[in-house]
Amino acid sequence: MSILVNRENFVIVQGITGREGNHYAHEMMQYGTNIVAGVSPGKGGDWVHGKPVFDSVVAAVDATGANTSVIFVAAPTASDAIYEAIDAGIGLIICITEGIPVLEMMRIREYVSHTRTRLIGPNCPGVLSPAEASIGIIPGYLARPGKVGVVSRSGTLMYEIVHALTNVGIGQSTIIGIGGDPILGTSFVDVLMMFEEDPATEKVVLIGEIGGRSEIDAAEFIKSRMTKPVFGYIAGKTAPHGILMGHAGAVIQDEKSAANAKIAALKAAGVRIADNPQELPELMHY
Amino acid sequence: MNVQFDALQTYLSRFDIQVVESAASSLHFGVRITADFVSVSPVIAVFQGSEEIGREYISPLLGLRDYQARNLGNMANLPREHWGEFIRLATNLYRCYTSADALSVQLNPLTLINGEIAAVGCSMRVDESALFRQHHFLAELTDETYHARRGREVGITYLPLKGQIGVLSNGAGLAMATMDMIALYSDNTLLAANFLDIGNDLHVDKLTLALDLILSSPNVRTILITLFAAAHCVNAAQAILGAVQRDTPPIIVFLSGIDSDHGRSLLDGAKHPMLISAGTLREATRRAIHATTTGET
Repeated sequence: MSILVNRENFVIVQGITGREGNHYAHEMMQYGTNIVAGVSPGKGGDWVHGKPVFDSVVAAVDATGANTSVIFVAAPTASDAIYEAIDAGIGLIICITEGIPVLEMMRIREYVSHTRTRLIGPNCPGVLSPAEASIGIIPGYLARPGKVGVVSRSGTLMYEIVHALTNVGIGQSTIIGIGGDPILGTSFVDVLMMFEEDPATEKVVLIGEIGGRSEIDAAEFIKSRMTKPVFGYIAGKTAPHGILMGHAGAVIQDEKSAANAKIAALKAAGVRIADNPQELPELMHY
Repeated sequence: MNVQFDALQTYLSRFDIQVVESAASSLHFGVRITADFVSVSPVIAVFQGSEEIGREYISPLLGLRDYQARNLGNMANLPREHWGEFIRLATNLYRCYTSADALSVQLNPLTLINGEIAAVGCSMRVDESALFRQHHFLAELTDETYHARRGREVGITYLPLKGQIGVLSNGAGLAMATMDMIALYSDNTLLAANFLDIGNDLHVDKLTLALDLILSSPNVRTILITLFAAAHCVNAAQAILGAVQRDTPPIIVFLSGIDSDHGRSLLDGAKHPMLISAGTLREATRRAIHATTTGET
């Protein structure tokens, strides 16, 4: 069992004729994901990896019954791709694209809040439920089925931690990268809520970093609502204030967005925090 | 990134906002619009010095409403006869904010000249993610260093810091974690000399530039490379070997991912006197700290 992503996702790949879209469409199919079509305006009628390409999301949905979209189109057109998927009634949109302007994301967040669509990302590696399906770019060989839910803002750091879990025999229910941008479709709290309700998830790993207050919100949620144990790692203890550390969202604006404040809040909520990401599994006593 | 004053003055004039030279300010407040990540909307506020007088949240879909600007004028004790003019100014400022993809724009203080409100000072910060449609600002951005720009052009994020150990990682989170472990395992006696996220594709040219950027800082005594190479450990090892010079400070490499054993044995097999690999982040960090304090690998 898992959250968000399983064998019931019928997935279209927006940007399937681009280099990344093409490559990862193939990887996702190899993992067992139900990729049903691609969308690439102007390339309708083509076929990629044996899947039909459509000019619009609505045409792809009409023809295939797709309920999920993963977006690989470049930043200048990515916001339009998100609106198109929302308007076509897609239930789950996972946007991998990095570099969507802040103003566009503010508009998207307001727009999507009036619909039933869930947006994950942007600037995220996607969602993977081991042995079920992978939507995005998380390397499938890292994961194995199990009972730990993993949620992270960062990509490669999450891969390293999932790898460490798998190496000591700790499997995962679902692995979710929510993204490194300051404005995201889905927050830590949204995901924690789903893990709390998921019968297949027994423990949760949360990987955060400097910037914003989503870890502080997560700590409040864990303290008041969460019954499952949570383990964490927060990157950026030594990051200087006021400087953007790679991710558009990773900047210490005030004391609350610094690593130490987040660690303190999470610890106060009962979360066990690792100093070294690779050694996080040692806290879990499986 | 901040926009230079002269360029901003010209830009504001396109939105009928005047910036005047040090006229005595007849209004004792300023106005600013900033991207607020908590409410996920732009916020317009009037303020006096460091004290905020009032704020309104702007719907990013609808834009600023007249009543919101009027409320702010009222809160700032602006006489009623100038409310209409303040609405005009605030509306133009919001148009400027959205047109420029600003993260913040500020006019402070404001002054009245012949019934028109003008600004005495101004500043604006633009969203780096929007530079693809804001090319005209590229030449005006002030606070990007030469080295950071060289990196950005090939997809490397480089930021110089104050420590002694150069860091090279793929992924912002992994780079920050690597920086933190230097402090952790040296009891805060050593720090990272830089933040560097090399991005997705690893090849010799990109690694060569990354090492160049790291060594542009005179403080660097050791380089710690932590790569989650996913499917490409062998490629990553080959790219590292192709990029590393004979004459270099000690380099410690942690490679993880598919074929990491093969990648490591390639690195070790090269028998470069200044290059060693390590099996875990802890071991790699400890070796980098050792090399920094002793000068030996």
